[in-house]
Amino acid sequence: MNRTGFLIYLLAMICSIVVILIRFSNGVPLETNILALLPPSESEDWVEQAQATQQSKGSNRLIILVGHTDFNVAREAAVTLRNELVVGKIIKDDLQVAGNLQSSKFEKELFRFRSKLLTMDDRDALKTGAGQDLTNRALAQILSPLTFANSEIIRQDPFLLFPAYLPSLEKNATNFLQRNGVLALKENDRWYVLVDGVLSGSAFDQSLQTDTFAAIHHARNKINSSFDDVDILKTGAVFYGREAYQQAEREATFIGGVSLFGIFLLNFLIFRSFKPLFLSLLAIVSGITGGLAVALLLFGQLHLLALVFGAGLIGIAVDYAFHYFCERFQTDAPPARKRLAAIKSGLTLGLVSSVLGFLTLSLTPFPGLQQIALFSASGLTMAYLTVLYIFPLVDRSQSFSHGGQLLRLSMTIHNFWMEAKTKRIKVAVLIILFLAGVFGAAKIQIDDDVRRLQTLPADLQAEELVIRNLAGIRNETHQLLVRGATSDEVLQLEEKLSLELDQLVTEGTIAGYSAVSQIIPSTVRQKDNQKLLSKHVFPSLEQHMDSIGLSGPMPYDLSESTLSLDAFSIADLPYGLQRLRLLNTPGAVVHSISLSGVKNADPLKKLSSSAGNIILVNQADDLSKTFGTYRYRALIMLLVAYCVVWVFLSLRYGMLGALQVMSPSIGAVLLTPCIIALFGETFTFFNAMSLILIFAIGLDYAIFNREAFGARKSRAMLANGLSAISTILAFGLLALSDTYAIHAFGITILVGIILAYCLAPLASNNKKQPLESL
Amino acid sequence: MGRFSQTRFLEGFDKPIISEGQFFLLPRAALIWKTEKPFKTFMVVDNEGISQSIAGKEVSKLSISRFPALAVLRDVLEDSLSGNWEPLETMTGSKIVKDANSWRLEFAPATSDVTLPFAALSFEMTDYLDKIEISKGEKDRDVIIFFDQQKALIGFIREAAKKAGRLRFE
Repeated sequence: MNRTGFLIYLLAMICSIVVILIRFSNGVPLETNILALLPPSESEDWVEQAQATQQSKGSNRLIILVGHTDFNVAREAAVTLRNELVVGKIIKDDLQVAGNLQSSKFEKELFRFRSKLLTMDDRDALKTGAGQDLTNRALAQILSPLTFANSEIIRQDPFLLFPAYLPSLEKNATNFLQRNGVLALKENDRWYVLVDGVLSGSAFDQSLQTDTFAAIHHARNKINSSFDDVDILKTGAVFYGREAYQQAEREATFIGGVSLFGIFLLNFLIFRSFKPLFLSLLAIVSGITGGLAVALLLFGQLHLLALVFGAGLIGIAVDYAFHYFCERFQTDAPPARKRLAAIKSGLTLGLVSSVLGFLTLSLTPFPGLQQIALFSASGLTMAYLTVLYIFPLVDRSQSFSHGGQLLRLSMTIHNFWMEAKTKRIKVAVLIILFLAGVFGAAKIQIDDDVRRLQTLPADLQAEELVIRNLAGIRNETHQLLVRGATSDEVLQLEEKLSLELDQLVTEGTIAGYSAVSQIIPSTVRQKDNQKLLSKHVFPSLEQHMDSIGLSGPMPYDLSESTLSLDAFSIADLPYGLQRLRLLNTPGAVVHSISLSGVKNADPLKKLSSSAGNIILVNQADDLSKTFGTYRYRALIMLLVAYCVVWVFLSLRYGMLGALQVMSPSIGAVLLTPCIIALFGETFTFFNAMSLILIFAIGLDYAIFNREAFGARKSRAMLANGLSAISTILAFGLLALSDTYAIHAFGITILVGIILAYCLAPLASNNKKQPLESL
Repeated sequence: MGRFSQTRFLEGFDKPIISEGQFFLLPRAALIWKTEKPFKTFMVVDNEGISQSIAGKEVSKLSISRFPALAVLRDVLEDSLSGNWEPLETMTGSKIVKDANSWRLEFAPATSDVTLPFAALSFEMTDYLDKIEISKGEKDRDVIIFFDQQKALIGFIREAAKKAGRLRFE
């Protein structure tokens, strides 16, 4: 059996290492985007698809402004930077400049259909029969000494309909102006030239993040060697992603370092030998290797937070090692196999309880929770196999003779709960815990706001704000997603919605909106425009042409043909329209109408609910709701996990006995949110996730306590104590993290583990005889 | 302030487009261009941009921030009409030359980082600016003749401009 077990361990480790090497060969498969923790949206497929497209369009964009007082310096520096990014394959070399509405193919097509394009003001004027106004406007512009209209434009468009339509394109434009082949803007005597591009890969790809920084750094050095006082402002998900990754790496290095040092010190102080330290590390490494391999095999990649949470649960692996080595604190300690047999029941029950609980959690349709659960379940199993089949092979050591004082000390809390003389203090402690629970529960504040849960670096946010203000990019929090079977159907729907949106703008409910139909009207609208012109303007064409000395054929196309949105590829469209046109597949076209300055979303909700093909989306609010839903679901699943474990433990302890064994874990899970609330901490999705760790560790402490009788009790309590200290050292320190999610995890672990350890003796039943070993 | 007569020659057109009217220059504030014939239009050029109106109703508006080339033309007109030749000489890189009874300044900008609405400018002046020719391409050009110019107190010009039409910058 031992040989078989060893072979199973060996095979599992080899397979795990192979899986990890294969996955890591294509870059580090770590996901840092917090949204990847969440399950696919519960919205309809088309909404989900449209949002995914939008997110990818947004996150794969890189925006950099290169500033200098001299335009030519700013331009040259921007060209240098752009070249570095293109040569380094950071951005694709197919620049679609933001706000470049003069893009030739697009503008030429619009000009071709000039007799079908009218601004809303011109439409309104023509509806009231004021055709002469349009003629007069054209004349005024033709007579102006400051006109841009040359003979070629006037010949083709004597009523100057197209120049009048151009300003409507500005609704989707930024503050950038075309200047000497680049887009630039001037602010307070300083020129800023835009370097804009689409990333060649994912913004969350760590190697691309590194390459992006290297390219910018290299370009910056080059620029600084030629020019002084050039500033570079940058924004894009790639920068946020890198910052998040680096922060997590920094914290993981610090906390991991402290954790390892803590475990090292504990082992050395308690066991005064390197072998327990080495074997403890072997158990942890085996656990993390197994957990990582299974997670990578099933999910392809692992979320950074799942790795942190999962590694926390693997921390239980060190408990197994502690229990094993604490068995050497007895005079004439039996050989390794016998010592192992003494703790095997506790180990097995602890493992099965935890694994059952995790498997229950993995049934939730929630990638984050599934990753943590499967990582932990498989990791713990590997650690269990290590202790069971490797430790006895390697460990030939004799008894520890120095542990008398430690064992006595470790019984302090156990004795406190068990001895009759401390009854009054016990009652007082229980009352205090109860009151803390009641007052804390009253103070619990739920917080699911994704804007707080995902802490963004202040310097990057400030830089983004500067760019937004300079470029005139509005922060549009809300949007209406509009769906139809064809592009034209969507455009018509947009035009219908525009009537109500214009009303909301007039009322001040929203500041403005951008829609594709504001630039490319529907076929029906185009035909109607032409009808209005034919009725009110074109009859005076001959007279008008005569008055300006122009003769020749009819310059306007009065055929039935219309401008078609489908004639443009997405790359042909200006950026303002690219971001609004989300999906264009056969039978399903989705556009976004982006809304700015929304003061009251209620009227928009009414628009949204009026038909199934118009949906109001506010991504931040929607995500916050999703976090809330999954916080709630995680707690429900925790309850289900307790029920499953209760059934399992009842097989050994009976129903009431199982409840007693579970009580320390339940107590810790219930009290932790209340106690942290007393310190002003809010309760988030991440606190709920952390309770899963308390659930598992709390059960372990209690089971080992319950399974230990007589002299073994002190050894079990010592092992529990060592485990609690190492877990707190390793994961309680996460409370210091700047990342809100990790901070929430750390603070919950800190309080929860202390409670679980202190309450563990309540699982003991000293009156009964020990149960048969498993 | 003064009067102007503008002849616009457009390539491929049967005849030039002729217009005439009054102008008012309020230095460092605005240029008002009031066309009286062939029909009445009113144009105000100021630091914001160009606004054109007919019968008191604004029919078009161009912002200088979006069309920086307008600022160049506005400055050219303002400087030349006010006899402020130094900045024009600096801009053109050439000097005013004496030509019989008048002075002349020519300007054909090289490649510029701003798309200018003209290809070349030619000024003729005696006491005031008498004529400006704006070439806008191979055969498009405007010839503007100025006459009856007079300097006046700013208040007087403002009042005259008010009478002539709406003043946006008030």
